[in-house]
Amino acid sequence: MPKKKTNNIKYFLLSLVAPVVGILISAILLFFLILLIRKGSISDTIHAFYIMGQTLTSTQDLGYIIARAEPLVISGIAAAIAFRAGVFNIGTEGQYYIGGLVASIYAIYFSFKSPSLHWLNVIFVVIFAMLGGALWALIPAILKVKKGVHEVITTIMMNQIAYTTAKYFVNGPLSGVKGGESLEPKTMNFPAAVDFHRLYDIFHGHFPFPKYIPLYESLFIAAIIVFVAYIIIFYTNWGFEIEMLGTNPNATKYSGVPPKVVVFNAMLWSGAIAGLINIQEIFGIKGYYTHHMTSGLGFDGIAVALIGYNNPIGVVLAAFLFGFLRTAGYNLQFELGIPNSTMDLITGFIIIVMVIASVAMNRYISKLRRKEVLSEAGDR
Amino acid sequence: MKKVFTIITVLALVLTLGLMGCGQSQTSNQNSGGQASGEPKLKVGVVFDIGGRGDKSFNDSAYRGLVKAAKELGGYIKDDPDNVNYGTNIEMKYLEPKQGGSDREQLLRKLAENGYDLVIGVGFAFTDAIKNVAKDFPNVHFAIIDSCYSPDEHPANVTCLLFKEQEGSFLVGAIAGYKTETNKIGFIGGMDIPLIRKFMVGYEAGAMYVNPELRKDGAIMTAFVSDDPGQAWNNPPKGKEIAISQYDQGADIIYHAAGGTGMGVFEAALEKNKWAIGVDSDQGLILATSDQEKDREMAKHIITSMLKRVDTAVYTIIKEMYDNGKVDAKVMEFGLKENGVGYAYNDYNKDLLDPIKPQVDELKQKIINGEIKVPATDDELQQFKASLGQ
Amino acid sequence: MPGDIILKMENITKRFPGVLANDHINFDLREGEVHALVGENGAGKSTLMKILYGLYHPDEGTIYIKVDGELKPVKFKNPQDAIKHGIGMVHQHFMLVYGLTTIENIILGYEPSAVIDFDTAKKEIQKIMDESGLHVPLDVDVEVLSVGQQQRVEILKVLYRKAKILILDEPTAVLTPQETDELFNIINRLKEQGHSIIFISHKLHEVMAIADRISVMRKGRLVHTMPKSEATKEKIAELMVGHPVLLDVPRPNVTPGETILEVENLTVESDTKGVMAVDNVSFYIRAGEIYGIAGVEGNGQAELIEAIYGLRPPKGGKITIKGEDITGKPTHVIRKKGVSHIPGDRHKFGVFLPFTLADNSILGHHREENFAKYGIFRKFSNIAQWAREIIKKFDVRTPSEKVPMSALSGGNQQKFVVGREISFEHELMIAAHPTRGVDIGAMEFIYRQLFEEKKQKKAILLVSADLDELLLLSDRIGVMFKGKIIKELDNTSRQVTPKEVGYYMLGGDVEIHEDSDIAGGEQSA
Repeated sequence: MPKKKTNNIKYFLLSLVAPVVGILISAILLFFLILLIRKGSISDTIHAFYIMGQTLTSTQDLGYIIARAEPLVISGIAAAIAFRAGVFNIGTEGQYYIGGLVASIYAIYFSFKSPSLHWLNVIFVVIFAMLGGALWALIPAILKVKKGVHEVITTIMMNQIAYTTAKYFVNGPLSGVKGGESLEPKTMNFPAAVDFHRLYDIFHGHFPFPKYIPLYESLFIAAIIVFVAYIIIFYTNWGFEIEMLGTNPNATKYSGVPPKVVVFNAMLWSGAIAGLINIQEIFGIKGYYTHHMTSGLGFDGIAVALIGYNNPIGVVLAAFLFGFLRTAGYNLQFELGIPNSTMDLITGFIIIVMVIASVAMNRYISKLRRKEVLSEAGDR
Repeated sequence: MKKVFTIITVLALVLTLGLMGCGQSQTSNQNSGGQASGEPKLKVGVVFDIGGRGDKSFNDSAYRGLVKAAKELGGYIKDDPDNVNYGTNIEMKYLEPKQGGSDREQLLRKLAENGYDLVIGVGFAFTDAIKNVAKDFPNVHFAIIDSCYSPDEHPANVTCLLFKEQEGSFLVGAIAGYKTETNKIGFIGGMDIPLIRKFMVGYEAGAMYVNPELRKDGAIMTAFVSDDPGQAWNNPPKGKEIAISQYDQGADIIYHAAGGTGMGVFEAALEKNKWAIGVDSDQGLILATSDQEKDREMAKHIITSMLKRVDTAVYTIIKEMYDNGKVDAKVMEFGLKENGVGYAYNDYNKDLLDPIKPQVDELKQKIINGEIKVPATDDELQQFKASLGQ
Repeated sequence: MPGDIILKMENITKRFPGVLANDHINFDLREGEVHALVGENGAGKSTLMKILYGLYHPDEGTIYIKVDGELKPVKFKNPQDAIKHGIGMVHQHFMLVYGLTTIENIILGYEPSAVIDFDTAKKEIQKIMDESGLHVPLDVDVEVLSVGQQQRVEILKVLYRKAKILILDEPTAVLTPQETDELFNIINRLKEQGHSIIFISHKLHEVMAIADRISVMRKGRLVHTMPKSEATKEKIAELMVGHPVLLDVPRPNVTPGETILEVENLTVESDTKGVMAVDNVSFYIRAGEIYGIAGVEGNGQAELIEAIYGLRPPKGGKITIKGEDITGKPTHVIRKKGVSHIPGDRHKFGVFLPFTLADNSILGHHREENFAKYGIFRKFSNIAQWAREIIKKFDVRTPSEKVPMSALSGGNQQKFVVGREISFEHELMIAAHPTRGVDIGAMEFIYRQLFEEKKQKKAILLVSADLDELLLLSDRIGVMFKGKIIKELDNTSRQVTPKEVGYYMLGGDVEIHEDSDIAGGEQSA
């Protein structure tokens, strides 16, 4: 029926109103912020927006956008899986520290040294990173299921413990700092057979971005995660049960689906995926592990999941938005001396506007649907 | 409704926790008036360490190096609030990482991508970032201050700018040796690493050289703050605790090489009415001109400071690059001879130092001439001590 | 003696999605009287009182308050408005701030001035305490007070805000009998001082003890208001649970077959540890038989269902389906053994409102091969087909199976749930309040479907607060009181009267007055 089809498109478009409104209002805020920073110079402010626009046309910057979006995609998916089940896994932050650590222990001590077995190393790095992340989610999951302790509290505490644990391993058993060489704490370097290859090298120059853009094999891993997550969420009963629990725990119970099992699994899988968040930096850029790696990716992922409506496609779009804002932020800092943190502020603002707008839109949409059904069905 | 609240709560958490790491970064810059026409012959980019310009220490010292280069070689600093502009031979630009420093590497890249020929990282925190970026930009020359790489890992396009801290430490050690009344002095290092041992060994050697009493076992007390880099360099309470214990054991002068932890040492000196020696920059002068009453009080207990002239290092490498179009040296060391290290002599401590200044300057000359070979390691110190006799 | 009318609520109507919570309600209150408002859970008492207190806004209707000797229409935007007009509410769950003292709690939000003048406030409160007899220590942390004392603080709070009309929401629910007696003394004193009190409860003996007038609510309507002199416990109970609907669905004649469900000595713990909600209950249901459970809500019916359905592990006893032991098995196993369940609260337990009808149509059976390959990969066309069949067969009014459940009216939602549960293979149907919140048309439809079930030789366990429904549908009726089935009544030829069931619902300890005019209960609203 064509009429129904157009309606579904209408509702889909309506659901996009919130993010678009969020971005537009934030752009206005950004305009005034820059105006303020540049002491009222309108031409500078317009130039700033021009610089931001240029970010989208330069291949180099596009490469950076992808590279910066990659960990956020993984992080967003990890958060989204838990959120869909109504579990607030705030612990993705700690989970990627531990995931990276466990995979690093594999890389340093147990990996294959032959370069021809590099692909096996990649698979094992992924497996161990997931195990590490899942391990870190296990304790909050058990506490939640057995004792009813709220996961927000436990996961936040686990974040602290993760950082300290990573610090201990980096400074202790795994320490690779040889006398005087570097004051940056780090582990021993990984064998060359483990280090992720650059996509530039893999494609032998048939790659649109400059060699120095940090794009590695881990991009494939992120893509696979998005694909698998999409299938699981929308095409399998696992996703369906997670959705049930997140929507109505009581009805889930009445449907014969044990909520505790679903919570437990969602938490563990969320943690397992979170374990992979920073493999790009650890196994690609650095080639060693340190607790001084980029932090905050887990929290960014939560924001990405929120903006992306916990939908894998939405998460990818939101992650790219973040990647764009960061990259544009560096350009603004470089060209106009606008503080990089301005972009963090704008990101936060987008989230707040979006949440408010989406609450309003959801009300409006459900009202509209109800009206429509009642009128079409001739029901009272 | 409940769901909305949960989302808001989580948002609040995300925002507070997530943005905690993102404090202020760069202060706003005026558009420089120095954009002259014509391509500069050399473009130099600098990434300061956290704190940026105005930290009254490392970064400001590096900035002075840029200004000197601009003056001497005829260049300008782009986007600089002070409009440093003496010509168009060299374009210089600096960036500052945000709080936490997670974007050091990004900023180095940004400069390298944008055609800067020489990119300098100010401070050892850039060790790994420079190595990673240098790999990707073989045509750009990089320099790092205060850190270096093992020979097998050293990238060809990186120059390390190191200081002979032992030489400067020798002089402040000598000052301590002359000034001590109890014939006991102390040293507090941030971490027990070879770099900090250079400070310690030079200090001990200088003290022993001028004061035979200090050659006795136990006359020089040494201690380190922590094995953990997170605890070592910014831990004033611990610094104070160690200093008080050394003062209580009879030391009347303590030299610290422990970064921010040193503030605790100064507090202890104030509290115990004893002496302390600062490090890196002229800490006595900085504190004496502070607007804080307590800082000015503490300054009165600082005899001198061991100076590391980052400006000299920065200027030297820019000049080398400008003159030769390249830098061949993998390591540049800055000692007394190169005016890369020294001791602080200012309006506030000159009355204290004047009686011994001739002797100290004589020692300085001897080191420059090679008459005194300052030890840099424990083994060398033992030999040095043996050569002095009892 | 009660005086003039000081509060009048006229034609108050409030709709929630799918529910008509208040249906043209007329309610009034006289000066110096206690007007009790009784009714089952969900009858609409709380909604009505929340409207009066400014927490909800009525869709229709007007509230009049006596101002300067004259009834004037008022609109309350929020509770502050209501308080200004002399209305105070004592909530069932206390709104006290622990860590603050009694006096701080009382004046909180109504401090006499920016700088709190405790002495003046104290004098004022002391005066109120002396007048009303509500004595509590003023300078201690409220946390250390007993529950009864905390309730007094709540009442003092309301009096301090100069309320003339007090709404007491189930005030005795948390009190011991002694505390209840003291509360009644206080209520009587307040009455003497000219306060008017709306007393919400479903404990009938308390209502009889304290009220001057009694209003009974049922299914969103105020069915009857009477002075105490005209009221009896039986009459109130009768009004609460229902009156004959003008529905006559012919009951099919089915000879019962084999025993499907057998419950033996079942004991189930309530949410409070150590208290048995279901106490040594035994009964059986045969194929083609409807077994009704009657009882005032909260006597163990919910826990009984949860135990049979596998949501609450029993403490003791045995449950079998066709001879197979299912005691303590998880719900999905029990559903597989052939148990379907129409839950009592559809929004809470029966549906996922944001999900499409298609997704709602397979709940609990979504892993079956018909709906999912290997039990994992969902077969969307099969699911849609299945949903369309339910929609067609059970006359659910909807444009398609793709709309979200929330878009449907309450009656259609319930029809969909009933249809879904009937459509799955099953031997036993547990129907809890299957017609709650639906209109007459849907009600009749659901009755016919349950009779159809009976014809199909299914065993049906029916739990309902609607006595007429039970009497109409059930072949046998077990009356639950305090966790026990205290009486089983044979209703095969519809011989049981509401009066009889009502007698046992109240524990069987009240006499039946043959001469009282409760039977039939034609007080329709």
